[in-house]
Amino acid sequence: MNRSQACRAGIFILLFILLTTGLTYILRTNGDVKDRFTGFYSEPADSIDVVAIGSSPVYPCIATPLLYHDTGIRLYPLSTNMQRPVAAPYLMREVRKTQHPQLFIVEIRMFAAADEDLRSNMAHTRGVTDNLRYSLNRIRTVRAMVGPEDDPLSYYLDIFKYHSNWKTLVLVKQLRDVFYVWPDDLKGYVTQDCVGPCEPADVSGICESEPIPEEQEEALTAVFRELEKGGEKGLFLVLPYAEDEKSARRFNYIRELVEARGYDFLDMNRVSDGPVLDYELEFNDYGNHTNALGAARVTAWLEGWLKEHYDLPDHRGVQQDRGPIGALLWGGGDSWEKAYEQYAAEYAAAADTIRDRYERQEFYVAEEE
Amino acid sequence: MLSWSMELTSFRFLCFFALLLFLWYFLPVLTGGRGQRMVLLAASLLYYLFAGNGLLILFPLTSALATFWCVRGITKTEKTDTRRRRGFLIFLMVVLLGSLVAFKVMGYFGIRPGGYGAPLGLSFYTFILLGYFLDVYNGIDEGGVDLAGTVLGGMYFPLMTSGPIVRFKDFAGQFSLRHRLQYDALVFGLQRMLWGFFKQLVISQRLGKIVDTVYAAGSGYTGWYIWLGTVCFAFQLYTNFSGCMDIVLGLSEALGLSLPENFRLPFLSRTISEYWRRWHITLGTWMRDMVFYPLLRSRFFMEQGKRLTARFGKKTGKKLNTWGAMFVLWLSVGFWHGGALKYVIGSGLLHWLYIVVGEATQPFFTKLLSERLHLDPKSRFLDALRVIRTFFLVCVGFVFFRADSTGHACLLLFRALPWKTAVPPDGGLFAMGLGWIEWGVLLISLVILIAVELINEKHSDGGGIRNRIAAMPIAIRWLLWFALLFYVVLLGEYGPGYSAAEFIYRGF
Repeated sequence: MNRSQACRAGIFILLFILLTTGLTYILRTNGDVKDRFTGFYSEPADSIDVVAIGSSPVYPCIATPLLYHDTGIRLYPLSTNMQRPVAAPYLMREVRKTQHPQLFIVEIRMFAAADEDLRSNMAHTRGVTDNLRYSLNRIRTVRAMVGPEDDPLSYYLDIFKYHSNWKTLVLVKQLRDVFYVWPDDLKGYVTQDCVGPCEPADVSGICESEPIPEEQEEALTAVFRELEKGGEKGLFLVLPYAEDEKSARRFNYIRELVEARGYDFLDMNRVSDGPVLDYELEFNDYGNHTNALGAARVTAWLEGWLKEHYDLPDHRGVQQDRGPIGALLWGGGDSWEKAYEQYAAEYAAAADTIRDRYERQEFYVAEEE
Repeated sequence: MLSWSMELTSFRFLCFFALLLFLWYFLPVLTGGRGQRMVLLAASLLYYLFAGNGLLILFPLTSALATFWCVRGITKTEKTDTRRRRGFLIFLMVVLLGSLVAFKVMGYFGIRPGGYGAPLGLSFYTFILLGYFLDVYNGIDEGGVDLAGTVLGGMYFPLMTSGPIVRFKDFAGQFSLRHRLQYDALVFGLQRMLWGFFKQLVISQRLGKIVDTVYAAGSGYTGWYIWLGTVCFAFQLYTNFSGCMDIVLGLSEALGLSLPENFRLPFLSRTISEYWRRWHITLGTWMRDMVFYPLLRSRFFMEQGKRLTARFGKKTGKKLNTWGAMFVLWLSVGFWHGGALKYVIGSGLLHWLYIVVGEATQPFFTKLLSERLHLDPKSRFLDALRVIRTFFLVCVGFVFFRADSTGHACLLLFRALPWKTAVPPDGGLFAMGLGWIEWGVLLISLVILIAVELINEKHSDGGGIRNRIAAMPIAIRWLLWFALLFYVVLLGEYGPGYSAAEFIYRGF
């Protein structure tokens, strides 16, 4: 084999790797999680102030466009359904590749659950691993989250799983993700317009604590280490939901660990002057996740809390620099203001739908997985 | 039990092959040209350890050791010492064929001593090693291959899945040569492997779903649906087996090693005899050279031939004698495919019957065509009809091959009779394991397969279609190879959610 042949072979292999990478990004199953991650990667460098990591309560509860509109704070959620806590430090490292947020919000509902229960559905792992761009950090994330019994190959090289999505190759929405960079219209927020009433749970009187599963405590310690390494502030957050007593005791345990490290802890269900939600109307699915009305109420309350406790910048009126290609692709103007405009429209429509559904007593029905 | 999924289409195997390729070509650079053969030997032993149920490696190792000892013994024995030579022959036949027969019989009765099935590649390494000894015994091969070469010749890892059944005299000598990295050989080899992946992962796996639906116990299909399932099985088996051969031959080509072809458009055969010269060629050749010819030369058949000639005349007597030897040959072929009666009939005796009836009726049909119907027996039209007839006869054999048992095969053939109404299943063709898009992919892939194989055959003198593509401008040929590569990557049936691609002949 001469030098020219070796070069040719090298170029062929390189092209194959590049094309396969792009193809994998396209074929990864579409949906709001993919949009959230491609949206995150599309944000201009060092433009995000707060990143929220955690499971499904985050993205339907913190209305990021509203938060920006009211305070100028740019918060982006990197949350996935039933996100396993072990992923948190790796997501923080992923964030730091392009952003240097002042504050990490770590939503902790899953820290109270056993990892074994979260692993039972591979989607809870793939939500994270299969939405990261290819990098060393992704390899480390897979290594941390996937055991040898879980067919790790299809996690490392997810084309092994997603090639069966080839029929979606004709969708423009999929094709645009070839570089895994595409802005998310609502900055990670998802408007939910269902109603699932529930009883408010009173756990304010629970003072005793119960240790969380060992592996989750290790994950929590890893998050502490990561925060220390990066020097960011940390807020460990429980968003409003029908909290049970066992979880409350475990959250007390987490609070002790968090406060001992000097970070902030906030359980919105137990703050005396916390957001007052209408549990009949403002939950999407019987106390698990808020709907659009609940999200607006929680966000409005969180705005005040963030302003009071952190010195976060107000970006309103500051034009984001997307570079010439970004401007060509996504147009000019403040993308966060545009997100708010869309949010406002969606909120208005969702509010009507929610009230209408409540009046007709047409409540949320869980989709079968 | 030490066993790993090391199917030739698995990613793990590809990583194994990539590592081997690197060591094969670059280790000799460091060692001054030595050690190449040892790399392959180590790779073959490791492959067997991980893919072939670990401890069962003792069987091929023992077989290779016995063959080496017998070959050495026989080469040191005077040709006149018939008794000693026969001693070696009988000893080796007992060792090699004994384990083959024992495992086949145990497999037939579902006996798995210690939970183990038959050793990987049992019939392939047995025939390769026995063929080597018989060639030396008959003076066709001089022998002289050392122990490492004998083990490697018998256990060369790509052959352990589905063959081909190589002849030592054509093959073993290649291991002693220094193989330098040749760009063309490497690229051609990898291209051929890709073609094998296309056949196996894109076509065979999809056809398998249709076949499994039709042949499922109690499926209730009748009429032409059964023939559709059977034709699909014919192509499934062809793409599966020949796809495996493409991977094995391509892999060896990338290493600079040459293996014999095993297929040459078998479904275009005009007669059953021709079919067996195009399908599993190395098995046919081996059986002809190691079973059929020695049988005809044996004392029993010589004497029998004389008796039959005396009774029926020279021509008929010779024919009857040959048919008798052929009966043993086809019985062996059927038995080689598995101890079950369905294999003995479907892949053996049925084909013997076809050939015998064909030869017996040939004079009648020749006369009918030329004298009564005034047709040119060599016309293309008649050739086309012969191809269809042969394919149909082969398909009848495939019904036995694929059915669960001989009884199941007979039931299917009865239900497939032309006057049996074809009852469409609920959902028609699209309820046979594939949706309409998948049917579309399958049909397009089959068209590509047939077109490429025909072009390849047409240009076989000039190195086939690969040479023609290699002569194209780089942009076009890269476009073609990337298209095939991503066709397989996207449309191949592999990974989570699919049953692992297995080679049907692996069990033999």
